Amino acid sequence: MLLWVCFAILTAAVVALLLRPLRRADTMPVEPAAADLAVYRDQLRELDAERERGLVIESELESARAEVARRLLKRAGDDKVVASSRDDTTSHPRAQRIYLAVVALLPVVAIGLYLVSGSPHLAGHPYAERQAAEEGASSVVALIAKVEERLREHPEDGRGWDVVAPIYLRLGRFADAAHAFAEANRLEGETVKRLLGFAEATLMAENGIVSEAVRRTALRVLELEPQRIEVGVWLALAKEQDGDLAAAAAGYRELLAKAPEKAQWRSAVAERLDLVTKKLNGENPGTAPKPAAPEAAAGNGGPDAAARDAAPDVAAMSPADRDAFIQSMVERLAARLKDNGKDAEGWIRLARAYKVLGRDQDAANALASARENLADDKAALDQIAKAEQSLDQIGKEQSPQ
Amino acid sequence: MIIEFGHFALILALLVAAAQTIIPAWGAAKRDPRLMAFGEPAAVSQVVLILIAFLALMYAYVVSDFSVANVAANSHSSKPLIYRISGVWGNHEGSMLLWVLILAIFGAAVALFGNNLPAALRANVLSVQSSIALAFLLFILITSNPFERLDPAPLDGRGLNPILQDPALAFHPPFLYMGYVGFSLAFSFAVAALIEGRTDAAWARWVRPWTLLAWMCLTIGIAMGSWWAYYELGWGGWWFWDPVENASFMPWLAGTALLHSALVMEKREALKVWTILLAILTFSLSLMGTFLVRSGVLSSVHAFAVDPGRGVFVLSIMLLFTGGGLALFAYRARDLAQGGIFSPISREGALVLNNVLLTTGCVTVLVGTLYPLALESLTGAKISVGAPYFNMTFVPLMFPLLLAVPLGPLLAWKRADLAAAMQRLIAAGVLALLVMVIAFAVTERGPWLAPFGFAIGVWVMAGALSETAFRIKLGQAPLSESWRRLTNLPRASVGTTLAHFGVGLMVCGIVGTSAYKSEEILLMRPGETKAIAGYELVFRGAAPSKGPNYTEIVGVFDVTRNGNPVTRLEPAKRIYDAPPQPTSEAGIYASWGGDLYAVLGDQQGDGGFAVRLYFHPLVRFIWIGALIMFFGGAISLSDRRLRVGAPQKRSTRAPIGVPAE
Amino acid sequence: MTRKQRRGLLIGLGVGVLSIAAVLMMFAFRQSIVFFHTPSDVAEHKIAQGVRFRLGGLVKEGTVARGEGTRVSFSVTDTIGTVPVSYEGILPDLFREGQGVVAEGILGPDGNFVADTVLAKHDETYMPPEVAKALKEKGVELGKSAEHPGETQTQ
Repeated sequence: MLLWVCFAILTAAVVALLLRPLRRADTMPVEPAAADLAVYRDQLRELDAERERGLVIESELESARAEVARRLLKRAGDDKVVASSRDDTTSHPRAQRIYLAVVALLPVVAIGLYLVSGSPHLAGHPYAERQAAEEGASSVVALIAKVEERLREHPEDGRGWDVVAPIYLRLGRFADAAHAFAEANRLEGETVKRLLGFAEATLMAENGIVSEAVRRTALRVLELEPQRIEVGVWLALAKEQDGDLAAAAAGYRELLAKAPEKAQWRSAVAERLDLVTKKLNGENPGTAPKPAAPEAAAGNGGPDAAARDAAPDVAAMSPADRDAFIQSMVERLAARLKDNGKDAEGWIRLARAYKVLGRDQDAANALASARENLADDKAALDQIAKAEQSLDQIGKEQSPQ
Repeated sequence: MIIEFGHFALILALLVAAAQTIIPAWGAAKRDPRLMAFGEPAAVSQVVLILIAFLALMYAYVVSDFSVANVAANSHSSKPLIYRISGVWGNHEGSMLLWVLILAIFGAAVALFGNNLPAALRANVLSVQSSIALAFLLFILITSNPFERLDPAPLDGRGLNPILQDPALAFHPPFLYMGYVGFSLAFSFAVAALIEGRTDAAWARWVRPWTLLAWMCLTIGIAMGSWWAYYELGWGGWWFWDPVENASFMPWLAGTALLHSALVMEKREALKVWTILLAILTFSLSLMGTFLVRSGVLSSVHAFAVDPGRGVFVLSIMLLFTGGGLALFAYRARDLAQGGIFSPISREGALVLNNVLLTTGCVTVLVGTLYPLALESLTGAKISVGAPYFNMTFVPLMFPLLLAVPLGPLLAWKRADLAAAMQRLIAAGVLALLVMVIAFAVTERGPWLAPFGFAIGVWVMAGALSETAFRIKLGQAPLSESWRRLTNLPRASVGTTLAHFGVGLMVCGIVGTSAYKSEEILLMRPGETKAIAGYELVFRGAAPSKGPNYTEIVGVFDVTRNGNPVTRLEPAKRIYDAPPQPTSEAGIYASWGGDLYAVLGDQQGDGGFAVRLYFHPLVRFIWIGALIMFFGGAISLSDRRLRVGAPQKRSTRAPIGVPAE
Repeated sequence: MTRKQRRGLLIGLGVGVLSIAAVLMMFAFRQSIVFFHTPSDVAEHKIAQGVRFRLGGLVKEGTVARGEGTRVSFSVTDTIGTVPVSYEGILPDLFREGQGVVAEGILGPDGNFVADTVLAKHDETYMPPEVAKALKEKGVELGKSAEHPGETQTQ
């Protein structure tokens, strides 16, 4: 509401300003001759001033003076005629009509154009305000800190992981969330909820790339609870990112066929399918690859949230983009692991990424620091050793998808 | 809310611009004072509205409001405040907004300070100026709206290209745009004169200071860009004859010519037709500069991500205004009255020579820049035209120009005595020859032309000073008299002297650094030493370090000269956090004799680093010269004579209570 | 001097200077134009040895090798043809495997391209237009961002 009041005030101010010439009945425009004469007089005055200062050669000055004077006389003679040609009686009503038309059109057209292009419903989102809002949840932060500390001492406390995982997810700490979900799954047993959480967090952490872990998790979910068909989106997405568009399209189609009429993720899947079909037909999908599906259900609305925005279309990226993208992922991961080294999976993922990028030395270094950081965690060490063996093979793969 | 308010203000500005394009010109055609007067409040409200929009966008950047798509794409919460502000124009949308803001400011200047202009001229100028604003506002709102929103807002932005996070580049675009856009006023005046079929005496008197302002800003803008490229890109070059550089250089050349021809027009009412044509061409070249940079049709090392769709729009704007202006010129130029007569040997004659050489130089640059484009569209062959072309065409054309520069101000208007003028330059000539002989004697390498180049630079500098010396009768009158005359000298003439002196200094810098540059690319391991241009550099090794939004590897070089420690150079290779992109930071030691310049390259397998070392003799003179040119312009601009006195109003009715607006 | 004579003189001066400039330009064009070719042009033996030209394409993955001192070798490919390139000096900051690149130099008798300049860009999403266009003509799938790099910013 305030916004519209501001618009009205601004428009009114502009209109008032624009109408000013109309209210001044006696506008006296400068006639060309008067302006010219003023200039010539100025020039003569300047010449005199220069002469006083003694800066100009006398002969030059005289000829300049004579020339300006000649122009001045000529101009003073041939004016007068033009001046009377303006006709005030016809001017006034015509001007009034035009001014009123402008004043009437201005607000209407402006609001019309604004409604087409503006977003009046959106409030501002200053970064500082958002941070303040986050700090408002400082009790949550403190709580997390406590749980984190406990988990550092007792990493085998499955309940702790279970509690903290969804909170991480909500706070956008996706990598932490994925790790927490994985730990909870390992210690407390797999449930559909935890598996979905893990898959979603991993997906978010990897910027929408459906990694092997996510794919396996999705399959596991289907095993446990076959009616959770929406995880099929991930499977189809994985195929799409592998470049197997036909299979992906088939997957999406099957999902649409099975999906309940009211499912919120239907439209997202439909859009995705549309896009893949287009690509299959060799069309350039243009600017549409990010289906703007409606707000997904919070919490475990996993699959559609993923399809919505966590899927930068890696397969369609240019090599340059893909490279930059992977690079940024890797750097983020590396930075995070520097802060918190107790993440075996993170280290393994980092090493794998380095391997894929051809940075073998870095990959070896990552594994070494993983061992150092997790020296007292037997399970993790095993995991690392296993990963190391598989890395040689990964190195032969061309791309990370 | 502030963002939406800005968006709305921009839309209002578009509508006001549309009205301002039509109504004042209509009024001028009908001789209706009320309709002509519409331009004035319209121009003022236009600038206020665009300023609101600009400040709203700036606010979004400062508070990092990532719900604005433009902010999210180009800013980052971790960026220092100054780069959040400069980020506003560090991207396409914001820079176009800055462009129209400056355009509107120039228009408002005519509205506010133009009360001594003939009413019809002012109305037409405001209409033409507003039509340009209208075109660019449409362009912004249709293809590149900076107020597009994102919902939901991303958590953080993508960051500004790190090499743009630099103080010189933060202020490079505003100056460059002030220059480009400043020429729009000359264009509007030219078109207004053509519409009316006559030029008023106030025409040149008005056009000259605004052209001068635009020229100053363009000079400093180009210099900043060149300085930035020199220290930031790490190639040690200061000018690459790259299309994007040429795009700003061409309006500068044409603008310099315009500045000089407008002088003839003001003082002698001669060269009217030519000056008007030049005004149209200068702004057309500015538009072309915008088009070349914004469309990305040309391959350039300076090119940033661009969008061809926008290029087509800017191209249409450019063709509309250039074509429209030239068509009007072809149709109306005959009607313009002939001006004063002058002999070939005169101040006017010298300025004509200046114009011929500058515009021809501009043509060679234009051909070199556009030829690849034309050839590709005609034959499909892809070529590039490099520095050798420009060195072979543009540079020789500048030689006669530079030789003539000191002569011009010494020649009288109308008819001059060349021999007398030459006589006054004997001292300068002797000095130049002396420098040439010394340069031949001292330098043992470098091209044989270089000493001539120095001689020309010195000739221009000494020539500029001898003109002042002659004017103040230095050596011919007592010192106190000379001093009195010096303080009495009109500022415009002091400005001329300074600007010409700056040109000479720049020539010396260009010759010095081009002819005598030393360059070494080598692999250095810690502890190794390399000698270059009389300095010894010891590589102490490289260590990682962390900045506010980047991590870097800093190499350390200890520099000594004849065993005495001089300085320590610390070139770095940085990787920024957002977006993660590597850049090189050169380590530079500046002295009057030249710059020692070190760049750290990639680490090689065995602990050594690829290192690039340069010595650039006299390179600072280039930018100092540009700075002196800028100040020369500023001093000239402050001259009272460039202001137009108020005409006496012929009051048909009682003028009581009418403010002079 | 009459008005007519004066005008004649001015026009004469203008035409004179312009024709000198035209001669200079023709001369300079003959000497300093550098053509742009893709690796497949090279593979088709379209280019004579010893002629300077610009080679544009993508840096082939896994081919960048550092040699003695600051010597670097890599291959430029347009996926149809591949040309080995050797270069002495420091590569631009944004030089990377898989990225677009333009190198200027001479093709040696052994089919090795000896570059003396490797062109850099300021912007990561930027691809030199010749490279983008040439690759597209060769039917190489670049993805959207290479042709309309600006758009990737809002993705």
